Amino acid sequence: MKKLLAYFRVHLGEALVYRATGFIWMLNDIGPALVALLFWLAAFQDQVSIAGYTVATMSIYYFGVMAINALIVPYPEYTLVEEIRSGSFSNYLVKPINLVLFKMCNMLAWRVPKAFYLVPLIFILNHFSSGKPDQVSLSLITLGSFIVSLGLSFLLMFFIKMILALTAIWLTESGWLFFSFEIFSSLFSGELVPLSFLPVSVQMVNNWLPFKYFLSFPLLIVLQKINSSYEIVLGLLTQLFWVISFYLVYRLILNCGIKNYCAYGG
Amino acid sequence: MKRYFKLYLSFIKNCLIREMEFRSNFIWHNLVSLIWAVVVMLVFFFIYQQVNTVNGWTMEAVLLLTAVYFLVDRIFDSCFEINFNNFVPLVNTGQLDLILIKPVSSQFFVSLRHFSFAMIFSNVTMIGVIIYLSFTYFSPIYWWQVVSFLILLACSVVITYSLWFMTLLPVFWWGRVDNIQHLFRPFHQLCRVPIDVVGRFKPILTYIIPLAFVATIPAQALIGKLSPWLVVYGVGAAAFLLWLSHRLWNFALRHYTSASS
Repeated sequence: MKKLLAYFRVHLGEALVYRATGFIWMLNDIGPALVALLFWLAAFQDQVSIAGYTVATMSIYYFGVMAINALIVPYPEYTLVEEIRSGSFSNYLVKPINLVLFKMCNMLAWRVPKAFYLVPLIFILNHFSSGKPDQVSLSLITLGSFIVSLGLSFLLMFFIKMILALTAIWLTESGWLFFSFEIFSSLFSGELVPLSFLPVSVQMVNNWLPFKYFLSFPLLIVLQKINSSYEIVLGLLTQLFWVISFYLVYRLILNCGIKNYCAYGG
Repeated sequence: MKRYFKLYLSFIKNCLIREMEFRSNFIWHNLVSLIWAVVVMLVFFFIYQQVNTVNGWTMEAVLLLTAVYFLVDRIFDSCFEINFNNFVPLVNTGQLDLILIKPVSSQFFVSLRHFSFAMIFSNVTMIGVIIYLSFTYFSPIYWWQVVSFLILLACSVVITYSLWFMTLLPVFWWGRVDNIQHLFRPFHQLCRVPIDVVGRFKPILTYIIPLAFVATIPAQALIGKLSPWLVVYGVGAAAFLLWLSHRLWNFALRHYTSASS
């Protein structure tokens, strides 16, 4: 625990020094969802309800997408790839540093300044939004499920992205791999559009994939579109299954990767 | 002018040789870039299964606008983005010194030294989509519409470049902001949807910060809903912003302190 706090403090110090960097990343995290929300607000001028969404629920959905993108979605892959290429990845192998905990603390620390920027921004946007999504009443169980689901969502994305980053041990260039993942993830997680807008056949295939647990599942809980306790528990257990599966794959790839990893230079 | 043209051709040749050393990466980047454009168009297709029009924009018009947006975006990425990614290290490590002493415009050099071929598939496809949609859903297309569109397309690239370039310049004062090249991106993404959706902010985004000229107004040229004077305004706005970016670059250079001892 002491070690964890030390990791967190180091990264928090860094995040507070580079405040402008955090602000720019936060703008990039909320940009696409804000643009989508503007489009939807215009669409709702002619219709009261679209595919079961009202202007208020659609606003909550996209404010949720903005918040999850800025505060939950981790990006450990870009720095890890640079560390593998430059050879500084060796630090994790020769020093008593836990790679997963170190990277997680980094991700969490950078969320602190982002949260400071994001919360007032969401209030301002809510004020100007015609959706007025500020009246949401949640039961304690729904709120608890939502928070657990967000935690699992963070872990799930974290391990998948760590696996993608470790491919840099074998591949000369893995940027295209990250970008491909981002594309499929943004479509199938519900970031671009709520999943109920996709064709039924695509939704059925997507139910067997982990993408919807990144973003859509927590948001459907908070929107109370998943109502029954059975569905919520089943969803959380499936999310947990994906987290454990990807953690095991990550461990396997890390063990194989260490045997293949070469660090050059002094 | 001829000297700059020859220089730019040699930059492109040099980058092509470099790109061909990593052929599989070149093909993958091209494919991924194309897939992203297709995914965004698919999303609009799915949305329009539930709505008929958004602020008077039909599905075909929005798909045309998206294709125009991606064409401009990919031209920008090929010519400028790759250079903008190198901009912060140039200033922070002092390597800009080496550019400033060259007998060539420093703004030209930092903006155009590298060229990316990773957007070719996407550009060719978007041109095909624009031609298909225009002649299928918005015919007859007259010659003056095509000319207006091409002029506005050039203005769009210049406006995007100028605005984006100006957002890089604070690095001379702020020092280490490693991601400043991404500062303009969220604003640029606003061009992915018809600018009419911003409601009362539309005049600001048309005449003051002319983001409407990035995709909405060029698309309107092909749809046939364009006021001719907007073409004149677009040319003026592009020329003014390019001039302003050059003035600000010279001003920022006066605050450049290099990085060596």
